[in-house]
Amino acid sequence: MAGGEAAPAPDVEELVARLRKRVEDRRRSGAYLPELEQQMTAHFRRILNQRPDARPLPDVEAAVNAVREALPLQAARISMDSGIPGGQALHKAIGKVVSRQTHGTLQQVQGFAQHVQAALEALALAVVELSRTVQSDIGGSLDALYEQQAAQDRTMARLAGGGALLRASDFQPWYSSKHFEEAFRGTREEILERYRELAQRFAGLGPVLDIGCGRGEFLELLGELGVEATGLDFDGEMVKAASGRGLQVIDDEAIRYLSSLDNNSLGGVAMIQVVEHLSAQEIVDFVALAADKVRPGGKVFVETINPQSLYVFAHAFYLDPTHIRPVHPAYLAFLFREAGFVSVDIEWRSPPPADDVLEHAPEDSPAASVHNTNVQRLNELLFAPQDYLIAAVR
Amino acid sequence: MEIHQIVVSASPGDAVTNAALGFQRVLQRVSPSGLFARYIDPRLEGLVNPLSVYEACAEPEDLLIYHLSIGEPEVARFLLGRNGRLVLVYHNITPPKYFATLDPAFAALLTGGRSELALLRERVDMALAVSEYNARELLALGYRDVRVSPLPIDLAELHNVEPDCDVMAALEAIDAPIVLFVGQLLPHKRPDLVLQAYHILSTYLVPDAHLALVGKGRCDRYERAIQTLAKELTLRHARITGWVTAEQLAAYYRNAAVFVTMSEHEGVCVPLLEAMSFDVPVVARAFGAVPETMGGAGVLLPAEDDPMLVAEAVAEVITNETLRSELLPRGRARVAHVNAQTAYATFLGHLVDAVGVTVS
Repeated sequence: MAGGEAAPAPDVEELVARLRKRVEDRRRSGAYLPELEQQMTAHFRRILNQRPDARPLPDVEAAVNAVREALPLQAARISMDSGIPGGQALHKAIGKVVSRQTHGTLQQVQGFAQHVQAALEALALAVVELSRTVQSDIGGSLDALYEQQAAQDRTMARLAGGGALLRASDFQPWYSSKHFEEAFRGTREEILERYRELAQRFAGLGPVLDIGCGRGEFLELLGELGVEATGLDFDGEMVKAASGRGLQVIDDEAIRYLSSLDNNSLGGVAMIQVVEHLSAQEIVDFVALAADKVRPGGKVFVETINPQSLYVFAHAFYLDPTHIRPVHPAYLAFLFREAGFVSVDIEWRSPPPADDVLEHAPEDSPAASVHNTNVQRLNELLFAPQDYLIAAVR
Repeated sequence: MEIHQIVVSASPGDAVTNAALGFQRVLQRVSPSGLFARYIDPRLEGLVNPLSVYEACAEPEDLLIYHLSIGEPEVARFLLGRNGRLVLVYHNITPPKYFATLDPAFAALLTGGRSELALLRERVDMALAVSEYNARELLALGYRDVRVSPLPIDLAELHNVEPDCDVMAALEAIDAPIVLFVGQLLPHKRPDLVLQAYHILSTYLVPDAHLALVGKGRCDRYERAIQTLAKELTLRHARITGWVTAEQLAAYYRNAAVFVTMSEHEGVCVPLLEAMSFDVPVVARAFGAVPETMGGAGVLLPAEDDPMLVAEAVAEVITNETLRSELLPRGRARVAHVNAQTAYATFLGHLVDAVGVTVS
């Protein structure tokens, strides 16, 4: 382990580029099975999460070996030991006298034992093979069935919902939605600042779909990071404004658009302040579709108003007339977990301004401790963070 | 003043315990110095003492050194309730997401560790990070005095043991390249991706290649799933060894054609250094402290899940003699300066510099 002189650094970046090109060429020429890596990943996930643990087989091989070691049967292996003085000589003498009979019996038993051994070996092989078939072939078929069933369940759920998901609203106000956004959502700069960190979490994960992209601030942030991103909004005015700034925005309904995509084709989905505009059916259908369309390892971020903070009902929630209902964080997290996302976290965002929160009494004032405990309880009930974010990894 | 170290749990062969035992020998030259833990493997009884023993005789002027790699409320409560000086050694904490469904209790400890790390910030006089990557995490958390203090790694130890005869014989009998992974069989190390890449490698690129996954698991369900995946991909030449002795490990390194890890989270990644010290070229992905540990002496792949790309890289390292001849000396040069004595000196230097430890 001596330290040697360093050779010139191999240009690893150039090497990786060359290897990548080789992979692409092989893919194009059809050398690999289609979707091989996705299938392997899905298969491992099924093994890990769905398969009941295989029960270990009894040790058939050891039993067969024991039989093998017991053969051949030989007269010489019959013990002549005796506890009585002179007993051993007596045994030997009797042995000699009946040796012909002993030999004949042994031969017959030996013949029988050989058949039994052969049968046991064949059975042992059959059991091992059967177990392999059950675990591998039938396991594989079960996996395929699980997969089909899950896809059918999702389709049924979508059909039951009537397919009018994330549809264009019937509400047609005469005011400009752009003005509404500016008045109540904050300036473009404020929004950029607020979501910069979230956008960074999509780094390397394109393509990302931003559902309800509005003015397109989040798309801009993704663009700055070099993440391929498409926005979706059914508000024509918003789409026009965002497209005008060179962003890729599609005027479509989210479910229709999501359904048209290939499975595993997205690296991420962002849905910021949208879920509170949806019906219960629309929410469950969106989560199921996201599970289909986001590839393993991809991320889904859903930010919405936190109904566990009563403060939001005095401020943000009823400001927007198109809000339908706030969605409880535990319920939304449950939906993502049920849909098969591997990691689902809830993050709290936007604490109310410090000026609005109840103040504690000075520690030395009378009854400060009781008062402050009450203040704390009230603060937790009234002034919990105004938003939460579901961060889900597929 | 006495200097004592605290770890959450002490067990033989554990990297954190080993580092603390190594540091203890150095600290004992300066002051009385004990090692205390909340959980102690019976094999270390006497060498490591229960934290309660220290609590009973704690002096406010003692300098405590806390090794953090997982959460433990009792230890955190003790440290937070104390006013004396505190040095943190940060070994990094595995992100809990990898264990959320597999082992929720373990995931909760990891989550707790992250909160404790944030809570301890105000109490810590100096934080030592075992890698630049760990240091960046601490700085992002608002830690002020953060210094890099490498783990005391003695690569010579593995070279000095007599390689296990049986493993040597078995591996030498294989007349084909052996791809080696060394590390715990845990989700964040991504052995599943190693199996996928090996499947591609042995199906399309280097059909006679063998694979050895060497390392213990700590989660039966995950280990069984990895074994099932290997079986169902019919990887006939893949062996999953479980825990091995140092003698067996040396035999694997001596016979490997290429070392590969797909780990997504590493505070250091010692097996990379071990492989390089045995002249085994390395292939890994750019996650956590892997790039700095590799130090440009191996094939560093981008941080993405592409088993095809990994398989191509492994095949290239196996078959391209020019590349091998470039990588081997670089690997040797990378590990030439890795040794425990330098790490001890750095560690002690930081203590002298930041918390006024005096070395007579």
